[in-house]
Amino acid sequence: MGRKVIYIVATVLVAFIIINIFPFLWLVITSFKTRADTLTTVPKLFFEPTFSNYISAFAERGFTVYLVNSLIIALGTTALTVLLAFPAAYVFSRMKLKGDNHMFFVILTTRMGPGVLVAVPIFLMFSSLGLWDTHFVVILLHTAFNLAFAIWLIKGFIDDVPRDLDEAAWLDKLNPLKTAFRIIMPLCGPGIAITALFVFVMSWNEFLYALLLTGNKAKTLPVAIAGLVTPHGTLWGQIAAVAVLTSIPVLLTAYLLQRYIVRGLTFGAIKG
Amino acid sequence: MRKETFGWMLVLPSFMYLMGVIVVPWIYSIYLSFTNLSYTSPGIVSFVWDTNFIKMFDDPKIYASIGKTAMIMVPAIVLQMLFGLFIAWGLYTLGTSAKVRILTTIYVLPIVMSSSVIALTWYFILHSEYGVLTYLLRSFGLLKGVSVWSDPNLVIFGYVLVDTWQWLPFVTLLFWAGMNAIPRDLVESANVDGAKGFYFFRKVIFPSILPLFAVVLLLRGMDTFKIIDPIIIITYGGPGDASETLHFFNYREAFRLWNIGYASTIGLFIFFVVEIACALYVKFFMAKYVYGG
Repeated sequence: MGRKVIYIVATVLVAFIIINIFPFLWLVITSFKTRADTLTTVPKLFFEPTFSNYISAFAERGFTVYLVNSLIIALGTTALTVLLAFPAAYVFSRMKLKGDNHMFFVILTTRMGPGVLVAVPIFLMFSSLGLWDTHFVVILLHTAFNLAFAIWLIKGFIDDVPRDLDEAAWLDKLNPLKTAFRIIMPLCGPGIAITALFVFVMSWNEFLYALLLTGNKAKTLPVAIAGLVTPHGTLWGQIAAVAVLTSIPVLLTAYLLQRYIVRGLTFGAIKG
Repeated sequence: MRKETFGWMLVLPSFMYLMGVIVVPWIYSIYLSFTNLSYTSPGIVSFVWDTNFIKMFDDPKIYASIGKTAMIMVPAIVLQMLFGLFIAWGLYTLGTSAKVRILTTIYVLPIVMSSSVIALTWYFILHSEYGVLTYLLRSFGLLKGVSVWSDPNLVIFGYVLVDTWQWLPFVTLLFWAGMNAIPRDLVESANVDGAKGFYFFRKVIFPSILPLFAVVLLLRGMDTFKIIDPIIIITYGGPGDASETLHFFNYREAFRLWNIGYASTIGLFIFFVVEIACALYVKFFMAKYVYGG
């Protein structure tokens, strides 16, 4: 392809990507504006930056609690998901079980139902048990919706570990459970870490179940920010501040994951 | 034989978990859909059998909400697939140097952002009075006297925009990865044959990523059909009922009007529509590309 064409393509793409990221940049800018500076008909590009939004959201409005809730739920989901997924992934990688080629459709099926369909019965069952609005119920659902994905992704990583290793372990009379946890798990540590990060991000960002299954005690950040919108006088500066802080951990994770994002998004189908 | 038994024992916890947390609630929903359970009209809860189903198929609001869902879904998916392909092709022609990697890292930011943050961002930049994008559009002579989130016709377009902004990077990234996975010798022999430009795209690139295209289309179709997060956050189905999509209608019946029986019926309906559509799609379209044959 000609040099000229390459330059044109590059220019168009760079321009497009800058425009594309503009909404996020505007969010960051807004988070440093005073209330008066956000509520102008002609948007202000130059202003005196302030940290007051960050301070008041976390010190006065109790967003620290929601931050802790988000952390507990995302970490709990990650731990439970990996613990359940790893042995299953090991089996799917090493043994030929009946029907495991339908995994793709099973994964899809867990994603097919609308959120409300599962949330209604869970809501009824857990309210009667007094477990509504707890970290536990959110972790339970987040794990359910990440489990099939995690199994598939980890399976892809275990596939990369030579089979001779477990054949040898089996000859040494190590049972599959011990083989999986003692021999294979340490070898695919990076793969498990990558999967864990993906699950963490998905749980951290999730909105609908967290909204439907929490009240005030276990509310997560994505739900709490949305609650800052009021019909009279929304504090956009504070919303932006919390939104930026909510995004920082996942942006860092994305940066760590960049090499593996494609693999994760395709459930391990493309090794990128 | 012993190994096989052990195998099942290791899969069992995950299997039981999914049964308990997803399948049991589904079955409970089926039960609920046959009852008239509702928290707003007190009375004895009783089996009403097919009443909810008949009510649903007679409910004009269901058809209206399906229409609105389609009006968001179709343009959003067309935009995402089309732009996704061309941006991916553009990135592909630039190669995989460090500079391109930095560019894609910036570009894919929306993938890891919370849908809640994205919805609020767009709510604000398209705000009727203080929105920066509203301001820019007005200075170009557009949006005179109206605003996206308060106009019954424009609001649909607003959600097309939000969904596309959130998911276009995802679609692009997958296509780009697919293109980079095309075997070198295939590309080189096509280049030797003098295949260039759009002809090269049409004859070599697109056929190679067709299986991936089929999967991405399926995933996006499934998710966009159930679009709800931005709608809860930005307009709550409004103005009026202009943005009341099917899943949002389901949500309102369940968690605002507390018509549990009826809401379960609608939820099951959405589930079966998606399930049947996916099964047909996989069987007749995707199987050909993905599983060979």
